[in-house]
Amino acid sequence: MDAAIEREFIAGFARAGLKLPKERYELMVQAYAGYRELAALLHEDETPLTAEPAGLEIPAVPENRK
Amino acid sequence: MTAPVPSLAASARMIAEGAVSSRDLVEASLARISAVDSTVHAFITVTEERARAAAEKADEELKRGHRRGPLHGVPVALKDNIDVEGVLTTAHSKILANNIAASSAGVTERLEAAGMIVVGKLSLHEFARGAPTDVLPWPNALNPWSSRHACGGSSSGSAVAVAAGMVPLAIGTDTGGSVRFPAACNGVVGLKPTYGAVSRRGVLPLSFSLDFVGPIARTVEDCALAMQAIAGHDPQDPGSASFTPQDYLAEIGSPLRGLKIGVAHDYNAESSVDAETAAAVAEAARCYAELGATVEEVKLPPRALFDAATWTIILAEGFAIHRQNLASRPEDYGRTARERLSIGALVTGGDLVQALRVRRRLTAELDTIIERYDAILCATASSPPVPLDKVDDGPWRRSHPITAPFNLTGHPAIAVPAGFSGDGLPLSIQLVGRFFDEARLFTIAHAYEQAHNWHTRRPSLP
Repeated sequence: MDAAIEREFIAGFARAGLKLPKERYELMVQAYAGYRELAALLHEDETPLTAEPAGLEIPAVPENRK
Repeated sequence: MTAPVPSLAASARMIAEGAVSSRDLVEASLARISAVDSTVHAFITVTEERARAAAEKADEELKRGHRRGPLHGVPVALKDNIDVEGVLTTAHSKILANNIAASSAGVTERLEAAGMIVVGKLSLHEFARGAPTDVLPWPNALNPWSSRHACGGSSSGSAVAVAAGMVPLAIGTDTGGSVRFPAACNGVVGLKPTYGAVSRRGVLPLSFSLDFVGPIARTVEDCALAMQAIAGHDPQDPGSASFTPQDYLAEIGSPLRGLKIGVAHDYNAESSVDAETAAAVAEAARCYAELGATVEEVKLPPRALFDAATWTIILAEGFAIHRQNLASRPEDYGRTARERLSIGALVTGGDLVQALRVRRRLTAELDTIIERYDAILCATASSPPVPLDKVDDGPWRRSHPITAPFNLTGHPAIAVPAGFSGDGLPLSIQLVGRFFDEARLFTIAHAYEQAHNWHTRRPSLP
C-alpha cells in the first residue's frame, strides 16, 4: 500500500467526519489509489486556462427542432 | 390471467378501440406481478388499491368521453427513487425505509395527467450506487432471462418489470447508464433523453448534474409514446429546458435514405467490448447500410478522459448528498453503496474544477462530431450480462458500461435489443443523437428494430 495515498485517505475521511472502515480497509485505500490514477488525467488536460469552468449547461434548443 | 401484459402501443390501442377497460389492463398487470414477482423481485411496493381506484376513475372518464391522451388507463411503474404522493420512496435503502412522499415527482404528475395508472415502485441498486450482491431490506431484482446472471442497474427493477411482462412501461433514472444498461441486460429498450428534456423534480438525486429520467419499454415506438407524455419544461426543476417537445412519433417508419450514421468501432475497442457484442454492432452497421443510410467510421474523444470527468463529478455530487447519513448512520447503508459513496469524500476541489472544465470541452467536441451525423452507433454494454458471482461490487467500480460519456455531455442515447449471445443472453446496441432530436433517434432505432424480430422474444417465466 502506498503510504502517501494511505495518509490522504485517512485525512480525507477524518475531514469529512467519516469513520475509517474496519472491514475491507485495504481495498478501500486501493480504490482511492485507483481514483487518483484516473483523476490525474484531468490535471494533464490542456484545455486553455481562459475557458470558464462550468457544470453541464442545458443545451441550446435548436429552432428547427421545436 | 397471468400472461405478459401487451406492449404500451398495443395496450393504448386496445383501450382506444374499447376492446378492454383500464380496469382490465390494471388487473392483468397486477395478476402478472402476483404470478412472477416472487421469482424476479422487480417490485418494492405494489400500489394495488391506489391503482384500482385510479383505473375506475379512468374508465368513468372514458365513459363520459374524456380521454386524456393515447396512454389513458394504461399501467406504468416507477423506479423507487421517484416520488408518488402518499407512497413509499425507499431508493431500496434502509436509510429511507419509512419515507412516504409528500407530493409526486414531475414525471409522475405528467404520467398521471396523461391518464396512466401507477401500479407500483420498482427495485434498484441502493441509491442508484449499490450492487446486486448487497444484502438490503428488499431482495435484489433478478434477470428473467437467467437468474444466475446480473440484470444490470441501477434501474434493475424497471427493466426486469418490462422484460417479465408485468408492466408495458417503466420509468428509470440514468446517471452513468442506469436506464440503458439494465435495458441491455434484459432485452428491452431504454432511452436517456437530452439533458433538460424530462423533469427530475421529486427524484432522489445521485448526482445533480448527471441524473436523467427516462423510459424503459419493449419497443422503440413504446419509448416514443412515453416521451410524448413525459417530455417538457418544468419550471420547478432548475435543470429543465424551456422547449417545445417534438412529435416523437412523427417520423417513425420513415425511410433512412439520406441519413448518416457514424460507427464508433474505436470507442468500442477502448471499452473492451467482447466479440459477440462487437459482431452485433457490426451487423447493425451493415443493416443500416442496407436500409439506405450512409454509414462511416467515426472517432470519438478518448474514453478515459470521459471516465475521469464523469466519475469525479458522480463521486463529488453523490458524497455531497449523502455526507450527513454516511457520517451518522453508515451501518444503515448496504456495503457497496456505503463504500462507493464514501470515496467521494476524497475528491478535491481541484479535481472537481478540472472535471467541470474537461466536461465542457468534451461536450463541445462531441457535439461538433454528432452534428455531422444523424446518430452515432456503438455498443450499450461491453458484454452480455455477467454471472452474478462475477459482478464488480468493489468500492471503485472500474468495469462500467459504455453509456456514461453521454451523461457527461447530455446527448440523448437509446439502447436497443440486438440479438442474443451463444448462451441465450441479450445483446444491445446504443444510438446517440443530437440535442433535443429524440424523434430522429427513434426513427433510426425503430428501423433497425423492425428489420429484426428480437423485440418479440420473451424470457421463459411462469
